[in-house]
Amino acid sequence: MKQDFFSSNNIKHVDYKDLEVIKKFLGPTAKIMSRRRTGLSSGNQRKVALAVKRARFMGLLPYIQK
Amino acid sequence: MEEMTQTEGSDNGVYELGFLLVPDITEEKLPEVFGTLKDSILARGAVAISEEFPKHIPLAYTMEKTINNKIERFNNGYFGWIKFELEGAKVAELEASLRLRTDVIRHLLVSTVRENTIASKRGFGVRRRTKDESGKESAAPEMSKEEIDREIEALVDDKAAA
Repeated sequence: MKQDFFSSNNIKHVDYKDLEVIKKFLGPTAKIMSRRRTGLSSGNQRKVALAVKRARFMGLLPYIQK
Repeated sequence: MEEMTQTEGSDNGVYELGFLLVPDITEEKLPEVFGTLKDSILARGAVAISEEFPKHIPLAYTMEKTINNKIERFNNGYFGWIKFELEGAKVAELEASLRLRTDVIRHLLVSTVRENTIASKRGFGVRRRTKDESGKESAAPEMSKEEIDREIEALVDDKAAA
């Protein structure tokens, strides 16, 4: 991904329940992808990281996938 | 920061409570439990904005919760959420009351904004677009070979002309 997904789609908030969107930024072992791979702005990368961590806490996403 | 400026009134903020209910609750009792949860929020003077009724989901990992001095393990639960506007000072009180509930495995109280934040439901997202595109692609092979050849030639000509 070269461009920031959120700014190109005009998305201002990253919701932890929005698995369809946040799963795009997870690798095969459910780790959060690096900014180098996501191509997000630093602010949006932090928003994604926060959303992923919230989703993990609520059991919507795994902490680690084998 | 940005979230705080979006709120209305001086002390009121928009919050969202996500919760996981224990799977032992029967489907018939679910509205009742959800009602008590909602009432506990509204009783503190909150104004409900939106909600999602608890849905049975498999958990991504096993969760533990001590209920009546016994460690219970859960592999599934009912996940739902309520978005509401509440006075900031009452939030801690609400959170404390939630911690005492034995029918909530986990809860997550976050400050948010009034408008819908689920982008995929608003029709955004690359995944949907790729689906649409793949639909177009699958429709394309219905053209005859000659038509395709003609189109390609036209494209090549355009490029050559440019």
